[in-house]
Amino acid sequence: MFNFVKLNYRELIIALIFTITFIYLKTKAIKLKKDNNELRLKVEKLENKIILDENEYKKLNSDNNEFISLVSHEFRTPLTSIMGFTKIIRKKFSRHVIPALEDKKLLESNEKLSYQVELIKGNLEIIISESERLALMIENILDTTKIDFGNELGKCEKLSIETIINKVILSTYSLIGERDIEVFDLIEANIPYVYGDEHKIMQILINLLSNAFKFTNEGEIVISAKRQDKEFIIIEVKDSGIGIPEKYQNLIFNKFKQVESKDGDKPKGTGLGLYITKNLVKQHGGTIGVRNNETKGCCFFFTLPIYKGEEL
Amino acid sequence: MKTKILIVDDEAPIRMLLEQTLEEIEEEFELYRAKDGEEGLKIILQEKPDIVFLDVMMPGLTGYEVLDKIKDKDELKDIKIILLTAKGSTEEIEMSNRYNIYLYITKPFDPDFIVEKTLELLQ
Repeated sequence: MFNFVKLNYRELIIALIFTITFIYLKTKAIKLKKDNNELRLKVEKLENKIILDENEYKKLNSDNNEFISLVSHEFRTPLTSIMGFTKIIRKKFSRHVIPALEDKKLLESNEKLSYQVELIKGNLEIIISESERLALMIENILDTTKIDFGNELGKCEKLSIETIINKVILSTYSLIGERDIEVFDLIEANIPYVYGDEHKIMQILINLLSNAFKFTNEGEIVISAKRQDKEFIIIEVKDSGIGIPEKYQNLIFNKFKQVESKDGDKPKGTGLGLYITKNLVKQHGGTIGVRNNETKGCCFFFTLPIYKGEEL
Repeated sequence: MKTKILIVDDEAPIRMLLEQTLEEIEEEFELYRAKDGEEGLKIILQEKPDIVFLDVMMPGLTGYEVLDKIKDKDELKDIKIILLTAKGSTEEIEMSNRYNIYLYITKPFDPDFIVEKTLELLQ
């Protein structure tokens, strides 16, 4: 009897331990289930938020595109009138007004009149060049807005960098003006084709070349291109201008960063050109940088992917 | 028969600018002006001009909508359309590829360029 009770007591203890463990585990399981449900709800909430954010982003992007289209139209139309009419006035003035004054020998005899005529001619040139500057600024601001909202490249295809460089040199030749600057290209023989958006690659080169013209008064500007490795070609735009102080070299690719001019004049331009250029190179999967030449001027270099018969 | 040129733009200064720009051309031509897409379309259908300067962004019928309404008409297929637009976005270029457009000019344009291209067409 004693033995039986003893045995039963043991079993009771074991049963008790089992029961306690069972209750503990059951409570834990219920709590875990509750936590799990809470977590699932949280995940669902987060998922919904992501969908909402995505929709919000899409809406923002479409608002932005609408804004770009509105700004381009609303700014460009009056600018077209200002630039167009000024050019017509300039033409009519030099074709009709000046010859008529010269015919009557008024310009020779009247110094004041002759001075006023020169003043009008000069002022018309200022209106035209400032309007052109404004047009460029609008373009740069729109390009920046597009980049900031992640606009993709246009049509990418197999391209000859030599053809593009030659086109760019020709189209920017007029920027030399009266200065004694020689521009030439140095393309490695059998350079491979590149893969990219022709319009955007031209924009990269035009931006770099215009910059080189802006800071070079005499000497030469060389655009060279050669294979860098299996993946990329490297293109360099080397000028013999004033160079860029080292402390600015990393900054100039940022938005609105411009090198202070030595004469203390406010630098011309928007401070967006190199930011746009950097992003266009990045969109192609390339890299961009600048260094000063050993002797004079600086050298901007960037890489573009080699065409491999397939898309990037 | 004189060449017929039509200018369609909702902005009066741009219509005047084009008109004064074309004055430089010595050859004679008849000039029509329309202040919006509807009026432009009406003149295109009535007069069948040889050259049309057509603005894209206009209230009412846009330039593309005008082109849409004339694209299937055989008797209008020889019209040379010069499209005037604000900014050549990829979307816009793709749109313009859908129609028979002679030239695509972005604003701000150079009056000399307009004269050069019109002379090319008149010859």
